[in-house]
Amino acid sequence: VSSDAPVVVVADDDPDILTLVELRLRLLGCVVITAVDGESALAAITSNKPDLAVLDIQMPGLDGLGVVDRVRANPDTHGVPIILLSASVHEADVRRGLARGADAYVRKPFEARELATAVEKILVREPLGTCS
Amino acid sequence: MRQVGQKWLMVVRGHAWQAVLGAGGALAVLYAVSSAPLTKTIAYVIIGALALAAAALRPSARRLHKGYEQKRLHAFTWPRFTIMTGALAAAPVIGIIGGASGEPVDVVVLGFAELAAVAFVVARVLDLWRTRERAESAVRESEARFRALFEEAEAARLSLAQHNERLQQLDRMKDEFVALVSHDLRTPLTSIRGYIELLLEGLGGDLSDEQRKWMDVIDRNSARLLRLVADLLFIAQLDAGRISLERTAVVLTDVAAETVEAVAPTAETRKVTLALDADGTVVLHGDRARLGQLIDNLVSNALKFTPPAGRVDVRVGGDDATAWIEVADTGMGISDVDKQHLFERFFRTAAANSAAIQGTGLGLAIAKGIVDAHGGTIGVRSVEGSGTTFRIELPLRQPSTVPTLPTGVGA
Repeated sequence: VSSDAPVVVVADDDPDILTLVELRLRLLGCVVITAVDGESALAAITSNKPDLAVLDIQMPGLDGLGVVDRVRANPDTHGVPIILLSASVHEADVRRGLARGADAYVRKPFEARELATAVEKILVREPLGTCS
Repeated sequence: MRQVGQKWLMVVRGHAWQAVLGAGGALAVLYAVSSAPLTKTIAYVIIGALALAAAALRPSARRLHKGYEQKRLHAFTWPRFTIMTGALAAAPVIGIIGGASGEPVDVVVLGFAELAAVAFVVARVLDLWRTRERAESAVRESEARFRALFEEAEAARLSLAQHNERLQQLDRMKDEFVALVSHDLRTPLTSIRGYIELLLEGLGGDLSDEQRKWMDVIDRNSARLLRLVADLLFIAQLDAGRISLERTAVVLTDVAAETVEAVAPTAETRKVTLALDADGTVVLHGDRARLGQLIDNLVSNALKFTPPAGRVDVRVGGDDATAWIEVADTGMGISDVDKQHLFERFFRTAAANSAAIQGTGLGLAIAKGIVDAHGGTIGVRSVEGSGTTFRIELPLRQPSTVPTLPTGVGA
């Protein structure tokens, strides 16, 4: 992993999915920081100012949408791109997330290609470079 | 209040008094008095005339007339007497007072005549008063009964409202349940499908042919499970009337082409010829993903029910107002009995079951749901043993009365 590899914070309360997303992002060439809930995701984003955050919506405590709010409210992190992940069938959750400032949304279950497309689309427009 | 009764007043000193109360409502009383001796004949005539008059005025008074004839004739056999009789002249007649005396009548007799007349009036007033009482109590009773009925109806309405609320609550619970189950099934499926994909890509090391084959089985079946979860959710949303369409200008011919292309490998595996006839461009204001799902449902169905060497033809066309899609196969066909239930959820034809063709019986129910949401129609023509054709017609534009539901994101 080169030093200018994009840094991505991934948060999901399901450890299997967390590992899966982490693996996929590593395969894309990203440096991945994992978090198992909203609070630690927010802490990781605040301290690392990553190139991207991939957040599950449904998490205990502070959920993905809550993290989006806090990240956007903080001037230090408000520019961090965010992809929401969700197995929710409530379209409203997703719409709310996008309305609050998330950049993209990937529905679970996802294929590797779908995740890669969403991630690349965002990282390409970043000055830091691309994952792959 | 038909009849107060009959009252006979037998009076003093050889003077006979007769008072008869008939039925009716008049209060007027007349009485005739003569203090002069009258002949028997004249007495008959006067009494009889009054009785006849009463009888003419009121049918029930005929009995009074008869009573006179039968009971009182001998009373008039004395040589000198005075007739006193009072008929209630106002219609309807309620009675006759009659009197006969063997002597010239004196003031006492007149007084009795007066009394008898007054007795009529009093009896009549009492009668009316009692009638009014009865009527009032009947009204009160009716009121009470009405109030009881009203309270009963009110209670029923309340219970219905509670019942309704409970049903709505159950409905919400069902929705929540379906959403929850759907979410909770998709979460493990995310891991299952994600890790299978990793393995099939060889990221976990090379797979033997057998391992690959078996992984494919898991892959295919987890995809089926995922599809089933999506179908159940769709059906639940149909139930709740909450199909949200994301309407855009959709090139139906393109959607058909993409769908046919996606199922082409399946057709090839099954050795079924799959052809698309979609000349020109049909543009429809609708939900692209749902329309794709609709065509996919029909074409996948057609492929499932068509034996090797058969054909499935997909045709798309339209005019100024309507777009149509036809999916025709050369499969086993559908019996007339089965046709009636074809679009019911979970319905499976007997033929499908006996041929062990996989399916949940949700595909056509979902297809109909999508067609309905677009304001269109779906129909089927089929000949058993030779094939089935589904035809869908969709309006190009929605009537303006149909509100466009808020759009959803994702499929």
